[in-house]
Amino acid sequence: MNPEKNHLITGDRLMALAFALFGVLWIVTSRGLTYWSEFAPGSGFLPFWLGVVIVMLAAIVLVQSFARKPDDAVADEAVVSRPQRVVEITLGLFTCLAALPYLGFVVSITLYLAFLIGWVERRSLLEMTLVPIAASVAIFCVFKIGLSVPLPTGPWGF
Amino acid sequence: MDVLSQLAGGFANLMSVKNLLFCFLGVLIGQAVGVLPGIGPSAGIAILLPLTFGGDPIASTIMFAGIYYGAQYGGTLTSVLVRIPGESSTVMTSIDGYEMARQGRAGAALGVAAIGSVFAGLVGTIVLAFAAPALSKVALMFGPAEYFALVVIGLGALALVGGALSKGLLMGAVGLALATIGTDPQVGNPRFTFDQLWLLDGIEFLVIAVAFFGIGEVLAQAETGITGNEVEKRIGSVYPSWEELRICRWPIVRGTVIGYVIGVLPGAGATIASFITYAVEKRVSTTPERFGKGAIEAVAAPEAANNAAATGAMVPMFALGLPGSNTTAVMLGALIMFGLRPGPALFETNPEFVWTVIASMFVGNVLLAIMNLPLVGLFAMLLRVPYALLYPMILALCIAGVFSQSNSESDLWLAAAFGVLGYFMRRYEYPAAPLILGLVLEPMLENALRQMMQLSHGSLMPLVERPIALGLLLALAFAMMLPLLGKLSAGRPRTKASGDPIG
Repeated sequence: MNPEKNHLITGDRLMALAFALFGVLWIVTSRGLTYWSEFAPGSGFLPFWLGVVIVMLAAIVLVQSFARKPDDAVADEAVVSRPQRVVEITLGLFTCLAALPYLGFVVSITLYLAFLIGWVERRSLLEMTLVPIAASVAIFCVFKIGLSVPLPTGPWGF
Repeated sequence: MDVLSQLAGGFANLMSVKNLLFCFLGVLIGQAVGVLPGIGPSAGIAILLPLTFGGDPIASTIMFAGIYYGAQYGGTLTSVLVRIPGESSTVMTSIDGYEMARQGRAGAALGVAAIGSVFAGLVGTIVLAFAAPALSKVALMFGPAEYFALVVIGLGALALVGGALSKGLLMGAVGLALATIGTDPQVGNPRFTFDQLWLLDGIEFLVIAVAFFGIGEVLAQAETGITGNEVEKRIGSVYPSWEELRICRWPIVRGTVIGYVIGVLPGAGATIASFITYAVEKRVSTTPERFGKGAIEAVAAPEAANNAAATGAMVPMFALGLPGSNTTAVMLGALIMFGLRPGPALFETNPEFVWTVIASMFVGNVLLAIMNLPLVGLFAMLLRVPYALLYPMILALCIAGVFSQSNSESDLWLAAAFGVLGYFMRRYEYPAAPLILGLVLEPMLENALRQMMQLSHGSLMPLVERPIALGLLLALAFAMMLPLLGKLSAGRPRTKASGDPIG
């Protein structure tokens, strides 16, 4: 069987399991809330039943995934999967968010965009320099100055 | 005839430089607001409200109305061009609109969205002018049971249009559950905050929308390496063809009707109107398999619906003093601030105000077309930017948008985490739209459910006893049974006239 299709089916099942666990979490947590108050539902009524529905539906999705033939999984064999780019973009994003309170919006975003354009996308030095600066400054001007909407500022005020 | 003469008076009042300028400004600001994630029309109006203190209430309200329907189209721009819905009501547009952009048909998508929006806005304004009091009576017939049924039908209909029904329903339920995080809307006690203070405000729609459609989309495309090089660079004609307009004429009409009716209902809003319209169009289409792959009517209908709903939301605001949506709630506050009393008497006590604002909505919708149709080509040029340079800017805009909404770094982390979830959901074909709709509509669902059960002393019987609620639920049940009945009848062997199976 195509490994990509096998991977898709496994991932599908893991997602269903994860949602089922989410449903169980909601059921358990809602037990600590008021289920019924006099003659009306309390805070925990709807969340409890939502948790039950989620677990049931996740179970149905899981059963359906076992009933599916492997060839039913849609996988474009012509597309090459490059998961390392996903990891790079994600790690860069989390690093940027961690830096925001310390470096401010403009510097953090400029560095993150430079990483994406220069390292991940292997674009030219000119693009790696100009685009991040222009984009971060433009967005800062529109939000902070134009609309008076707050953005994270570092020790240098931007 | 009385209505016509009053409307003529409204147009006469509108034809002053100040009122026309405010109308233009409202539409322009509205579009800018719609494009920017994190700044919705209600926020745009709230930001400008202090500037209108002591000013002319007519001109100010004209501007606010322009912001409202201008924002619907502004949200469309980002939905189509970069698949980030600027407003919750443009989530459905982003599905097929973005696919059309990838096929080099961005111009046609934006063009038909503008045409549908203007048509719906103009028709909606005409209906507002002539039928506001009567429509308000219909809106008053909707009680908690009807609202509960309406939300259930919205979620169910959306689950039907995705891939697997079970996955669609699952995502809707997850969205509803996520919306219970924060504070109980009736009692006020915290729930599902897990001792985290920053969760007391719950999870905002913008955080999830940016996470799934911005960050998640970028990650999904990064993995497969589909960049701007693969996307069709040819913009093509910037306007829809006559054939495409012919295809869209009835979807636009249906979207207008559905959107307006739902918009009239206090609290329902343009979001649910666009979702239900999409589901209806897919159901009535003879080629439903094209939906999700760039079907132009899947752009035209929701766009007509969200503009019609925005106009319909003015009906309860003017006629009953009840807000039809979040934005009209802010506008209602503005009217009270101006010393006006929205309600049935407004048409009698302040006819000049009401009819001038209604007249401005005609002009504003025409301005929307004049401003946007020539600029469609310019907007579509955005696609010529290499995707390797575009998606970093998208991510930067996502970060700015999320932070600006709540001034909270926690929301940024939440958006990033949900972005990763959105990537996995896209990869394993779990639809995001039902989750988002569940998140947006849960407050209405829960309030309706609890109010209904309070009034009925704990019983669910109102769902059966009230004809409108029962009708809505039966319609959904029937729609859900149709695919099953179809499968059953396809599996039954055909028989010859003698009754013996063929073959």
